[in-house]
Amino acid sequence: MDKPEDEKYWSSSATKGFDFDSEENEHAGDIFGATPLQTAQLSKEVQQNIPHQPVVSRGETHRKLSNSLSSLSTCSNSSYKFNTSQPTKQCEVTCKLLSSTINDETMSSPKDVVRSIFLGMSYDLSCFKKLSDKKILLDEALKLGDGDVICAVLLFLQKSLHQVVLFPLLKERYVAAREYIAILEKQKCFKEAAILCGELQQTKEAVVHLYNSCFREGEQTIQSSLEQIYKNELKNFKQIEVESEIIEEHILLLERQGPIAVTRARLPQSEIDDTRTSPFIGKAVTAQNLVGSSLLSTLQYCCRHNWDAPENLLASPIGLKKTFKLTERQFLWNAFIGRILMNEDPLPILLVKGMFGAPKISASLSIPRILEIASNLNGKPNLFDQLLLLVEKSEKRYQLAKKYQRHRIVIDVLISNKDRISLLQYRDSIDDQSEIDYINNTLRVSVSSVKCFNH
Amino acid sequence: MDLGNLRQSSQFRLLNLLTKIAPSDVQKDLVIHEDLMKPIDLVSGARLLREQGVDKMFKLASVAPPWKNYIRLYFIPSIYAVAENVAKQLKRHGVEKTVSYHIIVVPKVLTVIHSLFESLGVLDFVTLHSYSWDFIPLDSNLLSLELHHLFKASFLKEENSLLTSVAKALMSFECLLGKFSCVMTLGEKSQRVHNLLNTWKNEIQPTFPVETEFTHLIMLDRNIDFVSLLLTQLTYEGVLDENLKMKSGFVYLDANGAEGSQRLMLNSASDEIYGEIKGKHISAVFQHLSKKAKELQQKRDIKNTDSIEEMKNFVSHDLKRIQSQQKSLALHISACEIVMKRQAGILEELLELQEDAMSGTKMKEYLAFLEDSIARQFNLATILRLCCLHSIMEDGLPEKEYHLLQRQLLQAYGYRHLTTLHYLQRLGLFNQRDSKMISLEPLLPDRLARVAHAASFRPERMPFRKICQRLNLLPLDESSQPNPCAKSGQHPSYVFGGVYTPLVYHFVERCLKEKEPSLGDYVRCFGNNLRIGDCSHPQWGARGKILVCFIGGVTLAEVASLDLLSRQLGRQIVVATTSTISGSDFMESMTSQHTDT
Repeated sequence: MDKPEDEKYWSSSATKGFDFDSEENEHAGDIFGATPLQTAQLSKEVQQNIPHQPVVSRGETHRKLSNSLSSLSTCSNSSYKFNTSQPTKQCEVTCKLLSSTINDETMSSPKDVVRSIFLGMSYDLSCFKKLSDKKILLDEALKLGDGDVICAVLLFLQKSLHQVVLFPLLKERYVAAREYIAILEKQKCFKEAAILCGELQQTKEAVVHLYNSCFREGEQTIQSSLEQIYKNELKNFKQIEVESEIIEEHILLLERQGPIAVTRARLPQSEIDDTRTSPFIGKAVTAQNLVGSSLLSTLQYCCRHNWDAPENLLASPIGLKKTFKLTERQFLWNAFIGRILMNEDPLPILLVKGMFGAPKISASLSIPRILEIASNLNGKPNLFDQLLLLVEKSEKRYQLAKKYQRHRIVIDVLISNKDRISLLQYRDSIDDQSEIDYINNTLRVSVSSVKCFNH
Repeated sequence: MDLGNLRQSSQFRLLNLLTKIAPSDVQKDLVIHEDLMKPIDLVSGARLLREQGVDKMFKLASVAPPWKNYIRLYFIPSIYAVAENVAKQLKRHGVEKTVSYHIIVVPKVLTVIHSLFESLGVLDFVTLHSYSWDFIPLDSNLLSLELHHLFKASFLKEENSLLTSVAKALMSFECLLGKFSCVMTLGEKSQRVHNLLNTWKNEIQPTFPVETEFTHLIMLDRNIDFVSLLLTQLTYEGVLDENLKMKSGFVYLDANGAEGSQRLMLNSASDEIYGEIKGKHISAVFQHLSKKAKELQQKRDIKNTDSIEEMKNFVSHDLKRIQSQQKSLALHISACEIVMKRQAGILEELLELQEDAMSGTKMKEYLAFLEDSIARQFNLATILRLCCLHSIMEDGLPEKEYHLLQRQLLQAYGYRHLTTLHYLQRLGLFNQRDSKMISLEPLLPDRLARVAHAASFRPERMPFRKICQRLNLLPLDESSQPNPCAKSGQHPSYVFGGVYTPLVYHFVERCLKEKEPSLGDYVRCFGNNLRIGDCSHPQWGARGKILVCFIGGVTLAEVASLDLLSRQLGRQIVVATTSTISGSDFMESMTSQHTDT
């Protein structure tokens, strides 16, 4: 036999296989269930059934066979019709075994598949192999508008497409891209989400995804993860100067918090039991929860425990203020709260020199608010007296003194206003005997002085 | 109208599902997620579950409960992180041939959740079921799907899987109570829900009752009016929600919901006193309660002097009612006390600041307050509400101001809130003003936004203050003083102390005003986001009932304003929502480190 005939013979053979080199082929009938003669006979019979067609290339034959196979498994409206008579069962088996062409024809209508997903019916997306088919499928899902259907298609695309191909496809489909970012977030694939956001020109969001990825592994690795993204990842994005600066500050703070917390790992019982707080301020942190707390909480902690630390130490309040460029207001409030919680006198921190050298409260803070917080935190009585004396308007001083029950200041305001009736009324409203005596003495002196004056 | 039909329908589906899993005579264990406890209680109640063979009930925790039976049910919301926790729990537990696990996901098993269970290889012994309830009646005029995570999923993360469930619930509503003849939508998500509703109707071809009570469906997105969410609600029900966090129509008087704490059911159908005070301005509530206390005392006193026969009659008929009212009165007084204690010294100052933000006056003092409070680490949710209100009303903050606040917020409350601020920015709540980029993008449907983006087309976006002025939502504008009707409850702005009329009140009023809706101003303000149904429909001018549906949540202040409109128009308005929402709740969910959807 010449070569083409050889090829024809072997490609149309219905037997399972044959080895030319085998010494056993003489007795093959025992193993294969047929002798070479029988196979040749069968081949001839099969050839007779095949209508004569022009010689086709090997590739084309291959494709046709593959088409015919696919048509067996699915109902399709494929344009190609295999117009020979049906091959035998054995022929089909051989084709399945030897054919290596992947079925690249889309068999189901994307619209029907999308509808099936929408209605909760069973569906198979594996037949969408070509990129163009996948695009059509995604567009159909987007057209329907059901998020879950879009998600089902996206999960299929995630499995079957490389990121390099998938992302450009999503870039042109904003709704799908947003759904996919949400899927990636759920799967904790923050870096992939960041890349896609970068492709969508949403660089700030990309940074947020990368930043969030640093918190995945727990508190211990946050600092190193932040350092890693700060050094390696952020450079890939533009217009993120502010976010970059924030991440850098966060790293700086974590670098300080660890050593500060270690120095006071064991708390005195008095500190643990201290539950003083105010609705106008945040909750104070302890050494146990210092790492991971905010910058101002750390500052307040340092004002409590490291007030006198020199500036070059990590725990120095002044050092923190300078390093992080804190405002006067931020520093003063936290220093005030920190000192008062340590039962120290916070007033010197708040005072600045006024006109003509007289002390006054820093312009950044308001006395009523300071008094309110001092009251909530059980500040010492003399703090109230000192603060109230700094209130310029006597009417305001009177109201505040009355609110915080600083009787002597109330009485002094009333005396200076020469309001005898109010003074008498106030005397009747208080229980403090020394203050009552003070009022009585004042009234007596004023009466005698009037008498003397009259003489 | 019988909203009880909705409950029955939900109940029927639930019992059907339970029977499908195993007959009622087979004992089952049930693990239920915290968020679903109250809604399930409202839908079926524990007794009905027990009748269906539910033996032991556990609250979902990070570890598996001490199981008793071989059929084990989990009831979880369609939140990925929750599903992941359950799937991993089951994976650890391993396969036992005699045991079967059933996970019921509310409202549906999302593809991403199914894929998760599949990837963990637990589907051999786990079966996933979807269960969606109908709108749950929380009050006579309020229905809710209690899908609290929908806002974050749809508006923040832009994943719209749950919108189909809203469309299904609306279709179910139509099947039970009649088809809507006139539909209006304001917002991209509402429009999407409407489209999905039509798709479902075409697919299912359901039959609707011949007679319909509800003629109009008006749907709005939460992000159309964020100001109503950010302002402090001043109706009694709103104040309770802000301070004690209403959950499926209940509040706990110790706010933590600890066991044994007193529970108050906020339903006017079962609590006459609540019905009288729920929509009142908070300043008028205590007065009303005190009057009511005197009345009840008088009723008892009068009866004390009556004859024995009358006394007998009184004990058998009126006494129980009076006792129940007294009990309810005591609870409402306690609630008032808690709120007053909590807000002492803060509320008045906040209201003044909100007034300034709405009128755009005293901005220097406003910023000074923010800086000062941030430096003290005053309550973050409150501060963010004020920052967002300022940003919305000023159409974003100037660059310097924005960066200053951003920096100080992060330094005070932690750098981790970089994510929180990003979320607020995405939602358009806390932004830097960009004079060049004037865009309709956040308001336009995605397709149009993309077209606009592609063509570098920058259509004019109307700043919210201008929208307010055009729609006359700022009563302060006229006299620079809060509306005098504010506290009397005659003007809808009373729900926010006279500083703002909820947009929904105005929109619904315009939709229903005459035979044809006069929505010219809305077209100018919201462009493509407004879709008006077929005005030529014969039912358009009909005086049927109206369902106002909020996608993403409704505040109780808005519900109260619609209640006022209902009385003014003499037409019944029922509010349906994906969940109730309050400013404090919203901000807490934004600031939470767990933003799972």
